Amino acid sequence: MSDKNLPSRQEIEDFLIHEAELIDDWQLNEWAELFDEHGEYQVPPTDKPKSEPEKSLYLIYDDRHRLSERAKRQLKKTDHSEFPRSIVTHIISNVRVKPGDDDYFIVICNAVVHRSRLQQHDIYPVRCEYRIVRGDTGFRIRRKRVILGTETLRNQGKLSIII
Amino acid sequence: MGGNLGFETIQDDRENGRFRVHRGVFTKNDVLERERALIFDRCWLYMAHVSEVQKPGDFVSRRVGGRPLIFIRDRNGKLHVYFNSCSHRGAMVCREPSGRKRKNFQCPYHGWVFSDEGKLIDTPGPGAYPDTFNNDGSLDLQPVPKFAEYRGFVFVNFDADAVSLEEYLAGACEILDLVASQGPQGMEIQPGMQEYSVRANWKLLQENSADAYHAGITHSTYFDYLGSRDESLEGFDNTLSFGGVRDLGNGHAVSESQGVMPWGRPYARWVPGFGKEAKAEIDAIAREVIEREGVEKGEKIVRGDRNTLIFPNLVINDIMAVTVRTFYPYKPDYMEVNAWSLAPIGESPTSRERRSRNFVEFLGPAGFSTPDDVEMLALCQQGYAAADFAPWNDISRGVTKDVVEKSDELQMRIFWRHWDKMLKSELEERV
Repeated sequence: MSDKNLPSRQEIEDFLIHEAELIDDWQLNEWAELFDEHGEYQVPPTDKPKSEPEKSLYLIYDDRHRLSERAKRQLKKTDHSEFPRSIVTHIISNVRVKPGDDDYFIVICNAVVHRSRLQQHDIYPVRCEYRIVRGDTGFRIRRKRVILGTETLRNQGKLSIII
Repeated sequence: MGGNLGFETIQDDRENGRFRVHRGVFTKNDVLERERALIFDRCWLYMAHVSEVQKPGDFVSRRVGGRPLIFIRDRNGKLHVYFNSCSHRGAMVCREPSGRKRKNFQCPYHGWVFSDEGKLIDTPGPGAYPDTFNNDGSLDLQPVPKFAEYRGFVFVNFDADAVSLEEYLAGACEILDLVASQGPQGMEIQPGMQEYSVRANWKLLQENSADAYHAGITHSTYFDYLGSRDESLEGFDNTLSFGGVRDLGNGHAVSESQGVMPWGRPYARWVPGFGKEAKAEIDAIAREVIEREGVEKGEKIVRGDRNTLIFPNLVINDIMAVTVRTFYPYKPDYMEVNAWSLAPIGESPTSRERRSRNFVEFLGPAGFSTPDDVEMLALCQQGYAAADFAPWNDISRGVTKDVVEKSDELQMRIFWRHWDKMLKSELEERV
C-alpha cells in the first residue's frame, strides 16, 4: 500500500484504542472478530524477540482458528488462570503507520499493559507490530505480533491475558 | 545436617493404603537449606543440551543449582563447564546468556582475561604479580566438580564423589534414548527459551509435570479446544485411567501410554487437526523411525506419550512435542523455570512448523495449559498458609492397586520416597 493511501495516525489510533477497549472490557470474541480470515496472533520468545516463527519457538503462534478459541477459552470459568478475571489496562503510545505490502499496511505502537488479580500486579511493556487491511466494514487485523519488552517472564510468571 | 527435621515429613503407610506429605516441606526455610546441601549439591543436574554449543566458541551461561555457570566448546572442540565468577574479586565474567565464536572472557571489573578453556591468560598492568602467580591453576575459572553427557543431555554435579551420570540416571537412560532416537540425525534445542517462574515450591512442579489425574479438570479448556478442531476426542477417557507408571530408580519415574492420547505428535502420530495434507509426511516419518529403530522401540517413539521425572528437577515430557524443563527454588515459595523444545536435527520446515504450533498450543507460559498449572501450584502454596491446622497432602491414589494407571500417583510416591531418604541423610553419607 503506497504512502498516499495510508490512513492517518489518528484513524489508526482510534482503531487501536477500540481494540484495547475490547480487551480491557473482556469482550474477547469481539476482539477476535477484528482479525480477518487469515488473521494471526503471535508473541516471539523473550530471548529471540526479532526471530521469525519458522526459526524459533514462539510463546504464542495462533492461526485464525486458535486465536478465536483462545478468546473463547479466556471467557470460561474453567480458564483457571483468569478466573476470577484480571483487571486489564492497556496504555497505547508511539503509534507509527508505514507502507506494507500490496494489500496491507504496517502499524507499530508501544503499549504498557497492566494486569491486576489476586493481590498481584503484573506489568507487560510491549511493542506491537500490526499488519492491517481495509475491509468493507473498516480496518481488520491480518497479523498482530506482540514483542515483549521484558528480558524474561520471571516477574509475571506467565502470559494468561490477551496482550 | 541430616536426621530429623523436628516434624514428620512423609507418612508411608502401606498397610492401610495411605501416603501423606506434610505441607511444611513446601514452606520451611530449613527444608530448603537441606535440599540445597543434601539434594541439589549431590544430584546430577541438567545444564544444557550439547546442540546449544555446536561449533568451537559457542557458549551458554546460565544458573544451575543456583550457581552461575558457563558451558563452552573451546577452539579445539573440547567441552568445558566452569563457574562464571572471576578468580580476582568474583564478578561474573560473562553477562550474555549465549554467544558464538568466543575465544576468551574478559572480566568487566579489572580486566582479567580467561581463555575459552577457563585459563587465566592476562592481568592488565605489568609486573604487579610474581611470575609464579598462577602456577597452581587456582586463579583459573574454577571448573565444576563433575559434568557429563548422556545422548546429548549435559548434566553437572557439584559433588566430586558422585556416582557416574549413567549410574545415576539408571532406568531413565531408556527414556533419554527414546527421545534422542527420534531424528535420524539426532536432536537439537529449538531457538526460543521459555523463562518464567512460579510462586510455589519447586516440588509441586515436579509432581505436576507427570500428574495425569489433574488433566481432565485443570486442562478442560485445552480438551475443549482439541474437540473444536478435530474428532480425536471421540471415545477418549479424560480421566486417563489407562497406561502405566514405572519406577526408573534413584527417584526417577515415567508415566506412559501408547497411542491413546488425543493430541497429534509431529514425530509421528497424525490427527485430523494436522490437516489431510500432513498425513503422508507424518506417516513417512513414522515408517522411517520404525525401519531405523525396529518395531518395538520404533512404535514406542512414534506412538508413545511419556511424562518423565528425573530426580530432582528435570522433566522430559515427550507428548505433543518434546519439552525439556528444569527449575530451581530461590525461596521456599518461588521457583524459576527454564524450558525448551527438543526437535530432530534436519526436520523438514513443514514438520518443524507443526511441532512449534503443537508445542505452544499446550505448553509454555502462554499456552492453553501451562498458565493453569502455574495457577494451581500458586493456589496450593497459598493454601499451605493453613498448614498448622490442615497439615497433610494426600498422595495415596492407586496405592493399593495391583495395576497402576497413569492417573494414579505412584510417580509422586517414587519422588517423595527418594526425596525423604536424601533429605534425612548425613553430609558424609551417599544414598
